[in-house]
Amino acid sequence: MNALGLEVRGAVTYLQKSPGVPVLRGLDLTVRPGAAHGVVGPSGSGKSTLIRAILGLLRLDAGEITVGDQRVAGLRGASLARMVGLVPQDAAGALDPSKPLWWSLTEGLRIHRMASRARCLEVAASLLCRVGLDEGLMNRLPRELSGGQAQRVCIARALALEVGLILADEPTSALDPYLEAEVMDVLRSAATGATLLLVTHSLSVVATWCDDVTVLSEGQAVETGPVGRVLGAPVHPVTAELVKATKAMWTAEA
Amino acid sequence: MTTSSTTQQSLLIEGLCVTYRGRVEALKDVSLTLYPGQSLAIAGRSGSGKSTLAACILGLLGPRAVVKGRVVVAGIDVNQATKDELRRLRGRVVGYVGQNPYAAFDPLFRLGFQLEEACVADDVAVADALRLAGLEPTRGLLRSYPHELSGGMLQRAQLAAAILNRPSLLVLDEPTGALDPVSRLALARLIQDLRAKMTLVLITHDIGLAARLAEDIAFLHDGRVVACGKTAQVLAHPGVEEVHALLSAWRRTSGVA
Repeated sequence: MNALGLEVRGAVTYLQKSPGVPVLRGLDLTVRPGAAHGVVGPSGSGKSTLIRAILGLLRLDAGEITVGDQRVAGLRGASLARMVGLVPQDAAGALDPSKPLWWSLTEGLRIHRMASRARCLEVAASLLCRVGLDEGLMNRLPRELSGGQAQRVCIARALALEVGLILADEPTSALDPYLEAEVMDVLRSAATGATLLLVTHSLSVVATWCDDVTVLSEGQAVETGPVGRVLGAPVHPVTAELVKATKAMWTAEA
Repeated sequence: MTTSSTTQQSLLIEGLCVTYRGRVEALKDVSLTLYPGQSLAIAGRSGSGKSTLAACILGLLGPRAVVKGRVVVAGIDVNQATKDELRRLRGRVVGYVGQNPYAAFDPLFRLGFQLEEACVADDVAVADALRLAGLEPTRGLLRSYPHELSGGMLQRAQLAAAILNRPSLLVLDEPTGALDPVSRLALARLIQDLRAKMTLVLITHDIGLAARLAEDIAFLHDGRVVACGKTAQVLAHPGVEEVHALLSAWRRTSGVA
């Protein structure tokens, strides 16, 4: 599938338990087809809620989300799943612990009746190769993988349905710097030909691996643009504070 | 088991070897000594044995791990300790802050109740600990359930719980891993201030955090200490190839040239 753009217009959603406070408060976001787009923001700014909304896992109270030229609200789950893939934060927890990897990798293909069992094994092998893993791993169980391997398997799984938009929610925050660099390289190259929306706490990851970035604060997009411009010359105070805190962390003793 | 030669050290680790399931050697002959007031970072890649070392200090290794060597914390030999000694050790002698703020508290009980229950002193101690951890002990906060607090607040609450009973040694296992840059810096500053009050062991792969918080650093690789010394010196002259590789990867992911 070709890379799909993403358009979020005036998204509003309320938490069920505290109806007075919207989590997304008129969020606007445009992601160019084929771009690697980072989403950063303080905890509680609505990053994960945004991901859930794009996946159709929660209903918006106002506004709309469009993937490619289709409105998410009007799509059946099955159709959406063939357009949008997810790379989760907790890779090991996202794989069925009782099933070998080839099974997890091709679960989507079977649900959508796109492949026979024999074909599944072939696909699993080629998916593992695409993320730089040995195809011999496909009969292993998730618990036999290291953290970095598990995250690569999740990337491979997101590629299985050849989606046009890949969402990654903090995909490397549980990894050491060495693996983080490795996995981000794999994710970026695996997502070639698709659009990548990367939610992260790390401005450095955005700076190294993304083209564009949007900063969220209290459920709204407060700043958006090319990574170099936004992080190099932040306009909004929230962006400035994030940049400042990131720099202060590395510069010694203050 | 107390001997006069070990009481001065906050933490003494001698020839520590840990083997899981008879085949995975998680730690190989690790020796470290920490005196009161010192701060030590333990850095290294995933799987290098960092968290196993933390589990050893708290006496938390399960029956499937075979432990050789000695771990002595404030005079208590962890591997020989009785159940009562271990109970006193965890919380009163050693405080522990883990990576995941959401796993630190029971989701079914209010924060205030959980802190009071864990506290050996009175409510004042709870309030003091919360303040030291950068939280105002309001009625609203104490009556909150864990899910009502943000990750940054919960992580500070976890820090409060760890220092509640004034331990002499604080073990922090990736304390800022799950936080956004602003909460992360705030927590780092709080921990920095605690250094005057207790000995610190910081387990992390975040070299920036280690440089900020720890005077000394030990790099683990494949279960062995491959470099050890003053943080500034080790970072400036890594020497060993493993440390060098980790530092370059860290510079890449942290955006520091």
